[in-house]
Amino acid sequence: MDIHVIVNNKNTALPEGTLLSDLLKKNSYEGRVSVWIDDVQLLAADYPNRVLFDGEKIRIIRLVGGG
Amino acid sequence: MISSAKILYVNLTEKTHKVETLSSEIYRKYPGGSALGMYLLFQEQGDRAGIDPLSPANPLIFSVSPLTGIPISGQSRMCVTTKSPLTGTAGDSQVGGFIPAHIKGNGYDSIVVTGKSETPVYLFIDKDTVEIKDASALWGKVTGDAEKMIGEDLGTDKFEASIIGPGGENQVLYAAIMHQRSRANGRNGVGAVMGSKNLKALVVKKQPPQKPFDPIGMKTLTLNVKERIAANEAVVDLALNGSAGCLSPAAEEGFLATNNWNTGFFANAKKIDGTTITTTILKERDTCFGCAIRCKGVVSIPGKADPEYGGPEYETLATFGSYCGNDDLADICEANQLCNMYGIDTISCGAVIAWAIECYEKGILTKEDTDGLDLRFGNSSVFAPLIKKIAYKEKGIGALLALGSERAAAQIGNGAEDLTVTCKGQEWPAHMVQFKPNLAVNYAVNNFGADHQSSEHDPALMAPDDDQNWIWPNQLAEFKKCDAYGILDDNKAKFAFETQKCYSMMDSLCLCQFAFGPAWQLYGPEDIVAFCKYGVGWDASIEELQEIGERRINMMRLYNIREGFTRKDDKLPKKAFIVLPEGPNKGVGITPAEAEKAITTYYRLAGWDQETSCPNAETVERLGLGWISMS
Repeated sequence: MDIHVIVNNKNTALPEGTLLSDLLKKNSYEGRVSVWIDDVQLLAADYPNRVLFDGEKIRIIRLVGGG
Repeated sequence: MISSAKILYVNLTEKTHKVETLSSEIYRKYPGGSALGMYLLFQEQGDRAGIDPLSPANPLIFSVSPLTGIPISGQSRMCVTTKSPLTGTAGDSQVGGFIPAHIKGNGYDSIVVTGKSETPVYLFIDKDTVEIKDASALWGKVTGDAEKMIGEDLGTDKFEASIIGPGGENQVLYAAIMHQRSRANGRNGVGAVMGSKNLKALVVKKQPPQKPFDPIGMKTLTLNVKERIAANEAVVDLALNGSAGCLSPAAEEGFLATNNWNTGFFANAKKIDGTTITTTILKERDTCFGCAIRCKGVVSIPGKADPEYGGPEYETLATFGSYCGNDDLADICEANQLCNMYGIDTISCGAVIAWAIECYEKGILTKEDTDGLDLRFGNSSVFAPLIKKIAYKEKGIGALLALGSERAAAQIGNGAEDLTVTCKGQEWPAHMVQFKPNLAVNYAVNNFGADHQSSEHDPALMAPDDDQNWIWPNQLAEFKKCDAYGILDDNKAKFAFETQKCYSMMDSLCLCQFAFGPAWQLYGPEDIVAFCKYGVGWDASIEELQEIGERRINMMRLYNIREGFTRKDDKLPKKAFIVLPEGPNKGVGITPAEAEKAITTYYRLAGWDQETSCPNAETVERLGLGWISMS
């Protein structure tokens, strides 16, 4: 069964039990990112184990430096 | 503790030199690099404001720091200080490589060159032996050829050199001083000042490395360097793909300055990205003295790019790439090589060409003005002929573009001024203020024109609480979290000011900002304190180091005030306020009102007068700068 979440303002269907790290990998967010779920920023340490739930609003910002 | 500084003074007019000592008390306040350079610039100029930057009266000062040459990643940097012919401000330009460590190895903290030689010369230093040698045969040679001829003249390859090419000789206003043909004191036109003195090269004999004050303590910073690198994603990418590894990610977000800053969306960025270079044309990764990161890319394209001249960095790939609407990597590499051969700053050169292209496409410049060159976005075939025309200031388009875009626009008028992307006459580096709004403040207020290495970038304020990108800046001051692009507020103004102090300190201690820094780098603020302690026995603190950075910023500001600069010069070009017209972050932008408010906040934090931008009396006294004559 799928869950429905909003990722950066886009409706997205994901398999139940999807981890945040799976979503990041699926959307090619390689490197450093910041993630907010329902306007609460997550710790980077939580990315591998955070299970996503139906109805959550997820905002991902890529931290791009430069030199 | 910091020992006294040994300063070598060379008068090219009189063909004389002398050595003087600066006390350890003074050196601790101005501990090398840009801070020491500014101190010596004031000492040399006295109260004479308004000197012609290209006259013998303008000193050219090469400075390292007490930490330079002590083997650890990111310590081999050298600052050139002078009055900039491009900006008219205090001039400042940094370089890495090997010559910084060997200047220190020869026993000098700073080399102050004054006057002007009647004929071309180069300066050779082997500890106490200082010779002003004939360079008539070198004049007119490109940097690589000149370096080879110096080796033949000296009969050895045991030397390091900083050399100008035809760009510096002809006093192109953004001429660079090149080291090892691929590392540049690129910004502010310091090469033109060197050319105005008929000084072709600064050459130092190679010497053994410096020994740290506390070798066992130093090992706490150096022994685990491989693990440090492996644990830092940003530095791993730097080691793999060089500075250009972030080009594609910036473009994917729609924040890569494109078509002379009319948009941030460059569809073909992957074709010119660092990862593409790594998998196609990369010959090897080079490094600076003692650095384990090895970020310097060396490329090879037969007939286009000789590995002798290194390879393009992020800025060069952007200025000759997306700025010019160009995705031809080979032509970018060729442009990079030509700039390095002629000794021209790749940022300003690519940006000036992008500006000229837009002028041409808008009919402000015509084929008659461009010597028949068809300047269009995406037409990279014009790079090679155009760069040569610029380097030799050939009558017509070459001489015009050699002035830099701001002066050139003032000369041709007809709306060309609105197309420039400069602050204080210096072309912007490739970081969009819509994406990194704190840079809008920094670009505007920075004393030597727009510079991307004078404050930390905004993404640090978005990092998670357990990320060093968030933890390290908050060791400097307390910041609020930012959760969106395009935010320019008091928090960003504070971030600009506090991290500018940190970068200013690093430009004084001559630390590479890819190895040391307040956010993503290999070593953080507390590591810099430890390096001071173990390296030279200096019990510094983050507060003392921040004050050193602030003192250097204020010295530059006082210099500029004396030259007639005011708040009106701390302004942004119109293109700063373009709302992004396309891409995933379409609609993101900053407004003139937000920028003005943030600059006002910056002035308040800095203790500067809101109208004149002059540091107020309390600021001057607190930083111990009352000795600077403002008359």
